[in-house]
Amino acid sequence: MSAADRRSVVGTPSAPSRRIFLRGAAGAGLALPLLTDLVPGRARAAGSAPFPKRLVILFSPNGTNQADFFGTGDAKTLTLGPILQPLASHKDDLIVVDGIDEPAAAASPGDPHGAGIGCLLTGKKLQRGSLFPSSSGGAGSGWADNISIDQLIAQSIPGTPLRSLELAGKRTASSLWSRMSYRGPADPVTPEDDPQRVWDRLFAPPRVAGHRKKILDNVRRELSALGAKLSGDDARKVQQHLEALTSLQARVGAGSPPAKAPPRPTVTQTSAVPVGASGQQEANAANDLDFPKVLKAHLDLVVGALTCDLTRVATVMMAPSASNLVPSWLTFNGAPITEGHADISHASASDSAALMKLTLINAWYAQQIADFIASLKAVPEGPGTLFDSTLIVWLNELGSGSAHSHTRLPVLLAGSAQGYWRTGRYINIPSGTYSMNDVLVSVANAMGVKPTATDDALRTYQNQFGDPQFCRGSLPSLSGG
Amino acid sequence: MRVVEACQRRGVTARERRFTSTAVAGLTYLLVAGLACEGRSLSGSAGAGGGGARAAGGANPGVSRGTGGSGDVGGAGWGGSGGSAGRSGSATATGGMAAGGAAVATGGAAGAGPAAGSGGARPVTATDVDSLARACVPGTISPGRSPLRRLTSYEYDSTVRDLIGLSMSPSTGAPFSMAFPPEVYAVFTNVADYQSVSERLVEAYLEAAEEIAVAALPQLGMLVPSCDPATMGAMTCATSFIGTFGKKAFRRPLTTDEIASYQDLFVDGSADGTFEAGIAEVIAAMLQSPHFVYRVELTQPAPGDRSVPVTPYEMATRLAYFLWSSMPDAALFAAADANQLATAAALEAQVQRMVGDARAHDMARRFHSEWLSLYNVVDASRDPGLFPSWNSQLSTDLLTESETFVDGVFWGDGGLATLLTAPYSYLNGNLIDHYGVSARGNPTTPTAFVRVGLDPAQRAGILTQGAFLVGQSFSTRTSASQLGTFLRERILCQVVPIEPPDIETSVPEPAPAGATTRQLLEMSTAASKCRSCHLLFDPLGFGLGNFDAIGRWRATENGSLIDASGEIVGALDPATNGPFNGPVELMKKLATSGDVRACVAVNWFRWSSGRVESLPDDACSLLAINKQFEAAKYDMRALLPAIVTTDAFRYRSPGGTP
Repeated sequence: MSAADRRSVVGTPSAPSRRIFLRGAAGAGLALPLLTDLVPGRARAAGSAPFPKRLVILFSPNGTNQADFFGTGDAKTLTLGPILQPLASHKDDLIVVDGIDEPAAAASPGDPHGAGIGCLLTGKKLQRGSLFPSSSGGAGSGWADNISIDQLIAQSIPGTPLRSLELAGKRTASSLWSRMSYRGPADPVTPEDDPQRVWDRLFAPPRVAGHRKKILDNVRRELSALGAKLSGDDARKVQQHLEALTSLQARVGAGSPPAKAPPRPTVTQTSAVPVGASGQQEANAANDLDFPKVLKAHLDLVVGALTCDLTRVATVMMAPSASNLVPSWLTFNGAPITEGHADISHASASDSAALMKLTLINAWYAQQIADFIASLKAVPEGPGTLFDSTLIVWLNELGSGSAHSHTRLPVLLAGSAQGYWRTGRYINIPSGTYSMNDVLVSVANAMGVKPTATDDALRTYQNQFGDPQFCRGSLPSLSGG
Repeated sequence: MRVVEACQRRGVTARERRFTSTAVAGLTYLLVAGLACEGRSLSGSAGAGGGGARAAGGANPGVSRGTGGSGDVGGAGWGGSGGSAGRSGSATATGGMAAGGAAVATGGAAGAGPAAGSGGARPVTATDVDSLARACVPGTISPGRSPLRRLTSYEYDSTVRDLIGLSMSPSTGAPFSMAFPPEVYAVFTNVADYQSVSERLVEAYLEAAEEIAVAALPQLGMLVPSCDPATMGAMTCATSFIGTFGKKAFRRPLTTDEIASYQDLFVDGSADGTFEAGIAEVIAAMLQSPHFVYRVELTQPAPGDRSVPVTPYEMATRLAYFLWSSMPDAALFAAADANQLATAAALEAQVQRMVGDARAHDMARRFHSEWLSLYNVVDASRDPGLFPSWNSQLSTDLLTESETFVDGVFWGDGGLATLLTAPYSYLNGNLIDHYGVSARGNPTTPTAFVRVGLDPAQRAGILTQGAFLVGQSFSTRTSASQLGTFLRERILCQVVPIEPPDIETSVPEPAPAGATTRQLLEMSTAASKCRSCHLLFDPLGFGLGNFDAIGRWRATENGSLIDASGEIVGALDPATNGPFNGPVELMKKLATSGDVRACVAVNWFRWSSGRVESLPDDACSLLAINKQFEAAKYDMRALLPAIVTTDAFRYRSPGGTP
């Protein structure tokens, strides 16, 4: 039984029921303005506010075949490499950034995957730790040590029922490899892996209830009073609780879901958790057969959430770092691929067939992104489409798949963020100059957010992110428009 | 020794990973170092001069060092990042090792006088009892960190059950609307540093609290005895309820301000309804209160002091959640009311009382299941072509087997050696068939689990049972690397080096006919750069090679005889190191290993404190636990009173880290 179904069962007329909490609110929910339908840009419907900008960060794992990813071009032109060919029809909307390193990951504890994914959106070395099994990226590391850029941006642009949306294409254990977004140091966001639960969360929000407001206000007062008596980590923990409560309170009053919400997905997450918390993964094609459908359902839900302005920041871990999923729907030399992605990636240094398969896999991810872009372009918004206000970033935790390097990571931007930057070009970054942190600063700037970074001596750096020693600021060649 | 160290140096040079060519050069270095000694000279060299000391540090990659910086959950000692050696905090021993210097222990022993500066001393590590003895400064009170702890999903459910008197598991959803989101954890679900709150959890708290409140209303007579709102007045009864229920929910008496705010909520709830509606609003609010979902401890030390005893109510709560994963019972509340939890003798008496309760049995089962990742078996899928007998009933039964075994051993003779070597288990008819155990002399019953003697040449303790074995195997095959890594990390409490990049990790294809899993693994790791590290864990896993991916005994694989011989290297206790042949010999070695004993002790410490130990701060606490464990001849139950009488359990340090 789905959560939504259960909700309708709870509160059936037997004796005391949860109607207790809804009394006083009876009808209030109906009286609130409904989101009439999938009218884009809810904020705009009220008046003259501009369409909101949206950010979608997509992740696929295990490095790429660099020779086939970057293609060529210059400040005015872009020639796509084989991996990006599926995006050919959107070429004028893309920026390929070549030459971005991830120095925070290179200097971090953890295995290359764990450091790569943990540092990717946080820009700082991982914490040290001893509880994570080496086989899930641990090896002396803990969680990431900073808020991730998506969460930072989401905090800066409140006003939607959900601050942000975090999705995962595969079911995962609680491991470094399978977390990308962080609310703060050692505070990973658990992504939602089941499309039906995502739908419930998006389109069946908490019911409005009069007494709930008073109860939540009391919780808020107690949390605030408690937080004032604590310090350090304890105070931070309570502060995060308070922020989560704030988001919830906003949603509790947000009224009914859109009348024309997209249909609830029929596909559910079927993949199994990898062996324990260790995350060690075997290639098991049967476990991955539904993956394309699940991922598509997730991406459709992102489109729905952005369309209805339920959130403006989404991250999608299409597959976890070090994923060994078997893309058996892809064929190589006329036969389905039977090896796992991580195994293929490892082998691709010396094995030319593996390298070609790596290209195929990454091109498949590119195809999913192309379809996603097409969906955004199909949603009219004002004179243009939803895509015009959306910035898409496709990242990877490694550069070369075979070397597991943190240099020359594949970076693709799609969308101009309402003309913030000019698309249809190729940017070549001289090696060792600008880093992933700088890309993140550029992305934040495009979203209208200026982050700050703090070093060990507590000096603050404006418009930098993560560890200042790995950050110079936004990419000048990018923001030049 | 150098083998271990060499692999660890992979991590030292994290910077090398930036450039492939450099990384390859680093690997070459490892390769040479690794081959130089073949990992055969690990034991007994500790303290033999500077080089020996460094090697000792390498061999025991200190599981957990201090946590100086915020959120630094126990540094791993193997020097993953030389660059971070200067991180704040007194207790990081990584610097010395990463730098390859001789005096590895100096960093770890900072502030602990006795060990500092002695060039041959080993770093202070939880599994090195001698190092704990050196680092413990008698006469001081050192509780370590005392982070704010939130109820785990399991603790939340247990607490609600004991608070309301109804058996429910709100965290799993059923029968409620919304399951709690998956927990963020590592090994144990109660690691305080990872217990942040998401919006999804706050929403689940909201939904659950309302539904629990409604479910509790029929129990009101029990929850507020002898109060009739019709005759005594609604507010009088409500106030009585707020005081009695609130004290149980918050695990301490409410303040007058709190009573007033809950009276307001009662008024709000009952204004347009009934007495019950008002009470429901009070309950729903209390169950979302931070004083319910967190185990709040607010006592602060006097100015200038570094520690303070926890209050009687805080102590009652610590005891209850450690031993029962739930709230204090009436006896604990009474003891707290009377301030009778202040002495070690009183605490030991409480432990003796509390272990007689079924909740202690639940807790011990849960500890072992989390420590050994036994719950993996529940999610395990198996290739139906290879393992047609695998089904969900089997996985459920395998978990029940190990849980019943833990029950039988822990509350039987309690021996760690029994846990790891017992030649018996608890099986039902389904498992007797599954394992192919002879029913002779064993009662067979389809459902009930009964103690069954097993072939003592094949099975020895919990690590030879299906739940563990399946949980560390794959759907088509076993993995000596996976099993061995687990033993190295979770049973010996050591850190295994990371897998280097740029390697072929899959087994050769096509697989040679008749090859065993072991032979395939040895072929695929034949390259020296693989082998130098795999020597650390594969041989441990080879010892379990006689079990297939669903935990059945096998003498052959693909027609070839299983070779289950191996060798333990790199343990601190010299007696642990050395060759073995087969699972039973391996388990017997582990069962008497000093490393394993101390590893069990520190895992219990982590479970009890919700954090990784910080050294040297926790040296005295850990030392005391180890000594009492030894005095009890490694009866695991002795760990319980030992833990509750440590500084870490009885005191708290100044709140939070800045």
